[in-house]
Amino acid sequence: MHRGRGLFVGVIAVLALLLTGITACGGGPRGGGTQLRVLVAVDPQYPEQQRAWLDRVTQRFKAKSGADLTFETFASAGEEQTKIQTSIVSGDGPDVYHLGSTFTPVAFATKGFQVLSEADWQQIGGRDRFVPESLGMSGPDPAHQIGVPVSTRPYGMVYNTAMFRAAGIGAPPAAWDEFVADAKRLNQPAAGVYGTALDYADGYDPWKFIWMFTLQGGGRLVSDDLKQARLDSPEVGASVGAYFDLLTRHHVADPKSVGWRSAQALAAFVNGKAAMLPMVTPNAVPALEGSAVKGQYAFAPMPLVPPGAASRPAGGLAAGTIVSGDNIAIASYSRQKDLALSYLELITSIDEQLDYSQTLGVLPANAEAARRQAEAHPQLAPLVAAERTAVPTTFTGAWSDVQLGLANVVTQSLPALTNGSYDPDAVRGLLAQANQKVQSSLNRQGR
Amino acid sequence: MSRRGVSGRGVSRRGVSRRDAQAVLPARLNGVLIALILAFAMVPILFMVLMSVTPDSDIAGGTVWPSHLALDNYVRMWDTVALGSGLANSVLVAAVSAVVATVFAVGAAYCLTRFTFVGRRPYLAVLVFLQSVPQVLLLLPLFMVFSSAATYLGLPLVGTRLALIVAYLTFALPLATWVMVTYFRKVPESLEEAGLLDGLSRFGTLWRIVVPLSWPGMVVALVFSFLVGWNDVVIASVLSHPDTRTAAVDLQVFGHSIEGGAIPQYGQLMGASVLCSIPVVALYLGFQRYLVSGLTAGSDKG
Amino acid sequence: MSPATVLPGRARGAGPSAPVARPGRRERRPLWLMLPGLALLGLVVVLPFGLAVWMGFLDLDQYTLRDWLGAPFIGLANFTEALTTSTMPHSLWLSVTFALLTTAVAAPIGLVAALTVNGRVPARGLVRSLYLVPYVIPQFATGSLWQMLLQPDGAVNKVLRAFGLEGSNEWLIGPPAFWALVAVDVWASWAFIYLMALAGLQTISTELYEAADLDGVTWRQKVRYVVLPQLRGPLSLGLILSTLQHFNNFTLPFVLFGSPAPEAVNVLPVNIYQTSFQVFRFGLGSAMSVLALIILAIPAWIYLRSVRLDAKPQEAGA
Repeated sequence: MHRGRGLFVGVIAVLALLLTGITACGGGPRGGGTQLRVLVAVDPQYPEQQRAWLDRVTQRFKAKSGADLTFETFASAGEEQTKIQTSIVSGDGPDVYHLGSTFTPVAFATKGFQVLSEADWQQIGGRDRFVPESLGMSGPDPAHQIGVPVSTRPYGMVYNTAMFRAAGIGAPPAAWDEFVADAKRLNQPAAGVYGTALDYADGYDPWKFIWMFTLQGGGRLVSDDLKQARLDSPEVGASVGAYFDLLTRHHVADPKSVGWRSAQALAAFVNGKAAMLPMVTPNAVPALEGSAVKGQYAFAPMPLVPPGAASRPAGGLAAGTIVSGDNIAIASYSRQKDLALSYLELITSIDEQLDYSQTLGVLPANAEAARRQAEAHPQLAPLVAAERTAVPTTFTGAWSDVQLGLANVVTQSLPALTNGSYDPDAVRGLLAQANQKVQSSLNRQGR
Repeated sequence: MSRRGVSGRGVSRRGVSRRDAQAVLPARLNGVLIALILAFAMVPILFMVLMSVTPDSDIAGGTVWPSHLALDNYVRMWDTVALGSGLANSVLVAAVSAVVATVFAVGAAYCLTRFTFVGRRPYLAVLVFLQSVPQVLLLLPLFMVFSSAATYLGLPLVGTRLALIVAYLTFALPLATWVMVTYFRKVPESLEEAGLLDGLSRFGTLWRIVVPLSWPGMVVALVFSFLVGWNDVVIASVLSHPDTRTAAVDLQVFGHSIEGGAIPQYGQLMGASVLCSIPVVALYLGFQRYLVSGLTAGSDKG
Repeated sequence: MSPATVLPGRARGAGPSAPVARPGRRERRPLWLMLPGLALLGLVVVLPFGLAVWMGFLDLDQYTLRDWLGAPFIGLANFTEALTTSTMPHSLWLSVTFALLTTAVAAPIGLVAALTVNGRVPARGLVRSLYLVPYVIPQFATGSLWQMLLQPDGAVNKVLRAFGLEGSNEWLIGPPAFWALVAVDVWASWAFIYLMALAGLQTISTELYEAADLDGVTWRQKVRYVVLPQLRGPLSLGLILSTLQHFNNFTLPFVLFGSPAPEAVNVLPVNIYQTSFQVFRFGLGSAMSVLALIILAIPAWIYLRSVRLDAKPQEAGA
């Protein structure tokens, strides 16, 4: 019988038709009419609000420019990076990207994003409309900027006002030594309450401490001319030591914090097990509001004097926070540059910025909007003030190596920390390894 | 000599008249083992269910018993991400790719086990080799291949369900083929020769004799191929757009930590995961009745 | 005589394409059945794989990604770097031991589980399906779940201490992390072997069992002389596939331990992901993957030999 083959082919043909029918419809960019594709981060803390905001922006953009907006989303920093890589390598992807600000230097190094000219800046509304510090991560210098700030998420600390009152501490600490002293007073290990909560096992927070201590102490992670890696310098080593000392020498944090990620540290604070929690952004507000410490917490900028010093040494920067937030960049392969600039102008205007920050709990990048936000929400005012002390992280394509290198130093030291101490030689060795990687990446940039 | 009782089944020494030959282990041992294995498998699942109704700050704080029940996790999770459409996409993509992969695998495995031809052994070897290729390696190049289909062939593939189906079915193919090869080899050739003598074509013997006898293997191939598409995150995250997103990618939203202080939504993550497991378990529950000893059911009387 | 009487040792040695004695009928081999699979594999796996291997010879990083075809060709430099100065040898060693160990522990569990539900057991369908649950939970969720359970004051330590054992505060951050990873992966994946074994058991004809019963064997002998030989094919396939899957498992270690991973669990997939996607060194990442594949080819080759591909398919089902 020859029906076998015919039957088989027939089945496959029907399947193929069905497949094309079911699946080809749906998904993929819609043609017809101009449209702008925008990549944004999903906000799991405000999902409905974000969806509503996306709708509002789409409507307003349509009214302004007559074009459609299509939003694509990513859930994590890793996914964002992968999306950027696949798009750059294939020349096909969203037109406009919302980038994390610390990631902007690496994005810049790929040359996958358009450098904004003076005329472009004028079309967006001018650099003056932004909080000056937020422009710090837009580019290596004002002539080569790719990122337009759309939101700021400055880092500060949050403290338990009730515990502070009970311990007789009037104001949050302004120096790291004062922080340690206050934490010791607030320590009640017998009750499981500690002066502060730390997250040594987090992948993202520890390097920020090391960065902050180093810059406040006058050191650098990378030389200012961006040619030399300085991770093996004594200042960085001292910063790592100071960060570990918080636990091993001063004992102001729960010993379990060696294994904590930022969620556990935040949970310790909201459950009343810690009096202070450094390295938080406005992202923490939902957890704080929905917990037992509601009404008993306040934000404050982080201390500006490095550990072990009474005042900032010469060359030390008043680095209270990294420049943190989101930048918007236009892809090089995009053919909708005018539409993108129009979108940028819309989304960085005062009203849009107020809407955006109120809906998603971030702080505006528009200077006037930020001022109004601080007035309307006094609780966030210390974070707005912290933004004024923001110092950009090194604007180099090797930044991923720096960040990962520092995180690795901490990760590999965790077993030692669990036992209550750390080996300075081992730390030096890890820093030297990290330094090598950063240096080789810097060398490759110079090609 | 013959111990066959009236029922046609053997009478064991212990005198139990209907002995279940398929039960290899003694009954009591069997029961204990089942209890142990079920406990081993299900206790962490019970934790998962418990976590799904625990407030996130409790989970992050390390307490095992919730301070209060957070049943609204099951309500909120449908809103936090488009979980409904994600599940639908996942089921559609995984099911279609599983079926097509199994069909192709059956055909290929039949040729590989019944005929010799040039390239037979290398093909089998390559299939095993392809199983060892890590997906992360293929991620960028795969995206390049798919997006160049759009540029050069005018077929917009990226962001469609078709792209995901094609990708998953291809990844599942070596696995499914090998599974079918293994189970086809256990089907005796004499049965097919009987069929050929009756006038069936080779394809006919495949369709009417070999396939029904290797249903267990096909169920396994289907399950494995389904899981390839069901579990994958990496490929889906780059090849899908918001409306073709699968549930596996949606789950990332719950679990990923946000920089600067936020507690991931563990409760919703656990709830959504429990939910995501139900379709597969239900499918297997339905299909496992086909895991019958095919060599005694439906064999030809010579 | 029923053709289904399959007794071991009765191999019909006829070649796989023995012509049928039907006059005037040429043997038709429907080799075209293989075409769709071949085409898809070529396009979707082999082609990207070739590209990926090619990337290993290029100096591809964040600076050259955009114009990757023009990235400088550096020959074997990535491969030498992977072998000498990178952390790849250590990761490779970790991955190999992890894969072998996990398979060795998971396989007996799977096999025993299949034996328990092969016969008529109350609620057999339900039990068979419940066995699957850990395997079908998305790996991301499994990792998150165990990440919670393995915390210093998480459930695992609490249970261990309740039994008088010392828990560990380093399940996720230090040397015990390796064992934690093995345990979690065993828990999540033993059902793979279980599925293959159960399907294999169901293809053993009842008459084989009954013949053994007639001979009055104990259940241990039955397992050893009836079950295991019949399961040789599915089991060995299951073992090799399981090993390969564990070797390539990226999601579980990534979610459990994050990146950068503690040195004790810096398995190769996480290392490659970090190298390629977090530090953007795609060329080096590709080189590491290719080298790993060469190592993986060894067990794959051993399996292929053991399966005796060129042997004719036998009646007893090898």
